[in-house]
Amino acid sequence: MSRRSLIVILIALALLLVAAAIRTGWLYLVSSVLLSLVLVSLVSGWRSTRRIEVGRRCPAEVFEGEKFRVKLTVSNSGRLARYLVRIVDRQFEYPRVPPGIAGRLYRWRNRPSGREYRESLKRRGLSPGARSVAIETLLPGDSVDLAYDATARLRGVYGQADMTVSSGGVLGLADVRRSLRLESPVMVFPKVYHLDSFVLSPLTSTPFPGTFEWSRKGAGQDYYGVREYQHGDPLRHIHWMSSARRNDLIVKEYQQELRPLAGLLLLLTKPVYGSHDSNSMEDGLRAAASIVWYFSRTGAVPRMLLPEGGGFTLEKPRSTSECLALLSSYLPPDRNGSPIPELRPGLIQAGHGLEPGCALVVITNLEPNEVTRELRKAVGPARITVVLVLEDSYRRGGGEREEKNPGGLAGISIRPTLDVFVVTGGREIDECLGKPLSTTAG
Amino acid sequence: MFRKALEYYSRINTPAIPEESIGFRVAVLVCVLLSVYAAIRSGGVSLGFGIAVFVGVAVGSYYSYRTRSRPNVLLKIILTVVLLVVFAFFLADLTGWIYDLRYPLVELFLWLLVLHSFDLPARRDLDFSLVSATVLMGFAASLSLSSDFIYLLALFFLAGLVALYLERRSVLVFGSDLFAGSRRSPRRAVVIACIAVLPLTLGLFVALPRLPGFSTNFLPMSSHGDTPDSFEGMIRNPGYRDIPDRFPDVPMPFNPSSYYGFNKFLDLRVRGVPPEVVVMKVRSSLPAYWKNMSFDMFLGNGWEYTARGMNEMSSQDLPLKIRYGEPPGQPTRELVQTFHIEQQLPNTVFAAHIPYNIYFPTHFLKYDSMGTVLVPVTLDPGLIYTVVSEVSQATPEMLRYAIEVTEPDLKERFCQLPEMSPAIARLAAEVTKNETNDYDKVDALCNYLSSTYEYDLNCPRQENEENTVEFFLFREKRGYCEHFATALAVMARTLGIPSRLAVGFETGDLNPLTGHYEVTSRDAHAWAEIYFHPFGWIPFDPTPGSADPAALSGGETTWSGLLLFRRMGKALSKLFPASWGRAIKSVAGGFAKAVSSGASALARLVADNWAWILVVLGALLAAGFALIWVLKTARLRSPLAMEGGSPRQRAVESFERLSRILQKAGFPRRVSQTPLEYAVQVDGCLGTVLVVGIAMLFNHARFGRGDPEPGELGEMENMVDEVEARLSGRSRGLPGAGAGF
Repeated sequence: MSRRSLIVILIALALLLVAAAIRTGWLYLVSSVLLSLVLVSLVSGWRSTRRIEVGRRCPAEVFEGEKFRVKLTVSNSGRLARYLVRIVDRQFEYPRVPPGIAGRLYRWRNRPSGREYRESLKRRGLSPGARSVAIETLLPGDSVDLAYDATARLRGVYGQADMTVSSGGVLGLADVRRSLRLESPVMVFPKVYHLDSFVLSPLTSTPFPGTFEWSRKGAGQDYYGVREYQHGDPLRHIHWMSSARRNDLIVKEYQQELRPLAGLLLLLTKPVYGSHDSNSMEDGLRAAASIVWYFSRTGAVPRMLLPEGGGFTLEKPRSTSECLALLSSYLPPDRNGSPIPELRPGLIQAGHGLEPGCALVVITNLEPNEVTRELRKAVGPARITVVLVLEDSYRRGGGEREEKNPGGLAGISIRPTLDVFVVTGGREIDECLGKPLSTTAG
Repeated sequence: MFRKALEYYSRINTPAIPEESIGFRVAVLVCVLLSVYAAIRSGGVSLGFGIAVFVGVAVGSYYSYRTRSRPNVLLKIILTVVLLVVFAFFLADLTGWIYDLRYPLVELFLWLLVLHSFDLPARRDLDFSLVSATVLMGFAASLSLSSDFIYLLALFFLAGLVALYLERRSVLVFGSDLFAGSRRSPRRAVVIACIAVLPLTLGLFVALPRLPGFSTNFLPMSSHGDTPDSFEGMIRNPGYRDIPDRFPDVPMPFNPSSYYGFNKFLDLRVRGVPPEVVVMKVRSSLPAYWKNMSFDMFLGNGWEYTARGMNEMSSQDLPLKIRYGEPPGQPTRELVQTFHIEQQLPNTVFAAHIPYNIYFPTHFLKYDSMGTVLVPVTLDPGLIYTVVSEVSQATPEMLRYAIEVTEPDLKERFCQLPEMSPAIARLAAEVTKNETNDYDKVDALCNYLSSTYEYDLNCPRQENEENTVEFFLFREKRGYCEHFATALAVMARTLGIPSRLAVGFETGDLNPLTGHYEVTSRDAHAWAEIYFHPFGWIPFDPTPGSADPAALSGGETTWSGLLLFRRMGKALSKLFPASWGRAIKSVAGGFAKAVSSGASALARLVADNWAWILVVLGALLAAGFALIWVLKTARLRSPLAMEGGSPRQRAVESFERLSRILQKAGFPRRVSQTPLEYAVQVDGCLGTVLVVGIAMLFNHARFGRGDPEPGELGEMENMVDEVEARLSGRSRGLPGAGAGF
């Protein structure tokens, strides 16, 4: 029952009272018409939302904040035409709410006070992130294809799309809603920032050649091509038939196997400050995704150490997509009140699990002092890059303070081979990862 | 400070979303103009003011459209000030207002509509206009006395339906990210809505109970005009201006435009059938006979009004309160009636039973103890007055215990009889020989007359000197209401029971739309009034087919909406030949009566057993919900609930589709390859994990023990879509990676 229908019913009741007082049939008639309008709206609205089939297609993988196309196919399998039907796609609604009355209550209780939210509500009566389409007429047996741009504001694995089909019939005095839950899984990767460079160990991040050819030739198994013999080439690679044909030594080249050049150790705990989509954990994951993306340009896929059950588990993704998928489904270790794993065992595990010489990037939003303490004790890879996401900087006005004086960072001068990047709220992540803090040799 | 306040005021008044739909604006304007026209037509406002409102609303609406995006702070301030002034005038008017409250209310609403029409930037403002127009339409309708108003109302609601449709459309157009409009005209949708609304409205209209209203201090009456301050106290019937002072020797000529009984005497020799012209419309919470005078002296072939004990009263205040010598016999109930005069009538006040408080545009009137009230002017068309009467609620059981009348004056005056045949007295005694009290005697006489004698408006004329009762009872044995009523009154007098003859109009037909009883000149009627001490004068009507006037005030009007069927039958009957017409009329009337009886019985049943009914309804509701839940659960569990065949089949189809896509892209699958091997190979080339994912889902769906979850199938299909999109270069691509993989 919408507000409009309640107003109409109240007017009808008021007229009925007047009609009873002055005993005029016309007012009974006017009241009857008004009540009939509400009833017809309710019935036709209810009918318009039934036998409406909705099919939804959207990409299986998208990036946070990126626009993508969602296709809807709406068909009428009923025997009567449907008028003025509205379909709201709530898959990426922010904040995410359950459907039905519980959802309405939740939305009402948790309505943010932001201007954007207010404006959005004023304009369409919808929460940010929700998208709506409307169809004027849908004849029996007809179907309509609709496409619109959607944006996922937050990374994650979105399994189902909550849709609401609503209609007030032809007259719109009521608002009958029907909730649908469509299977439309979407993996939303964290937002990726372009990094022109990222400091790693010289062993593993030798200057970028600017071409992928380098990374594709080497001592692999798969045949790549042939070239002239150069000093030092193994004799077993000589292609004798080609050599005979050209009268010169020709050797076979093989594709180089892509090996992870680095590992990412993530220890991002549940954030205290910041908003739903802008906090230390999410920014840490965005930083991680950006680093993964940076690696993908070299054809490499980093190994990942993720917190699980009080320790760390080593994931060996086979592709960049898989890597990003792990970040999409990242859950903070302390989400259920579980203890936060210590950093040091993770570093030790990285030392054992990663290939020798492999650089390690630690991304964490722990207290800088704690990180310092842990790093001091750590025995791990030769060179470590630390990306510190400063939790305090997400406090109101905290970004500026941390910018000027990143608390506790002076102590991170424990190892000569340590690069530290600081991510703070209010600064772009590519900017944060572009320049490491100057580190002092200990 | 002032600037800041102004800025704040202008900011909060800037419309968030100005309404852009011209169609919606025009439809609202049409509704408003129709309601203004209705107010003019119903006489709610003068024509000049109405036209000014008409123009004002049109200009205001145009101006609003042009300035819909501006804050219009100055205009709003001016409108607020003017509105406050108008409201102050309205309140000042009400202070000394003695007439119908609806008139100043209609005027206030018109002002509101005009002023508000200059400030309609947003949708909610237009909604407010629509609501105001609906309320104004309601008031205009309540002032209307004619059924023709239905056409105007239909037009208004048609425009309203269009406005609602266009508003809804506008909400969706401007409130959705994407609107798939239709090239088809919405005419069909609106027609369907109308068709759906019509029977529902009809059903609700007849089903809504007409509950007793509240009492109100504002009773309708015409404004005081140039009424004379005194008059001679004579009955002046405009249809019989030149009648003699005494009862004539020869019958009076018949004038079809006026009832001959509304005179100083009633000539029972007159013959003629009056036309069916509406003479007045009466609004009353209960049906009654609208009496205007009584006759006390029977002359043998007519009745004479002796005008004994005529009193005068004058008052500058309203109501004009009539105080009779003796209080009305208890129990009584108050009945308020408002009369709208349509045809010229004599200068007597028509009222139910005994009028007490009269709201009439005069300061001076005369009345007698029989309840006849004379006013200085004839009742002209357009005149409105209200009367508050006391209607006897004495039941037959009470009347059976009435005390014998001993007052000699009363006996002498109301038991007076001329010389006539003793056969009349013998007949009366014969009919009432088994009765022991006056009430039963009168009742027996009444039943005897109505069941023995035939009602005939065309009965032959009696001799000039012949006694009408003898003529009716013994010679012709048929007659009309005057004959029946006279016979009853005379026979009662022969038994020593005081009686008199009352004339006026029958109740008339209740128009369920206007709520008024429509009284025609053919409803002119005569009946008898019998005196029972201490209950007073009780009406009896022995005319066949007439209602018992004493029982009318206890009549059922709760379901009077059903009378609409009878009126519809009446209207339809005019379209067909007479024989069909009568049949239609009788069927519609019978249907209305049957449904009315049914509804009354149902209402009684509900009133007596509401607790049980609530319990049963609750149980039925719970059972209904349970059934829905069970059906829903069963449907969810059913394999058929999933569309597109079985889940395994869907999985196979998806994987086959993937194979075709990949083959087209240059990745053929060897026969020896398992799905997973094939997927590993393809993913190795593409650098993704999508195909492996699909293959794993396929393996689980195809070879797993249980059916796959619907979510898995959906995910699989989406992944196939994604592979197709990437291979065709339509992928969104990762940032900086360009299209494809």
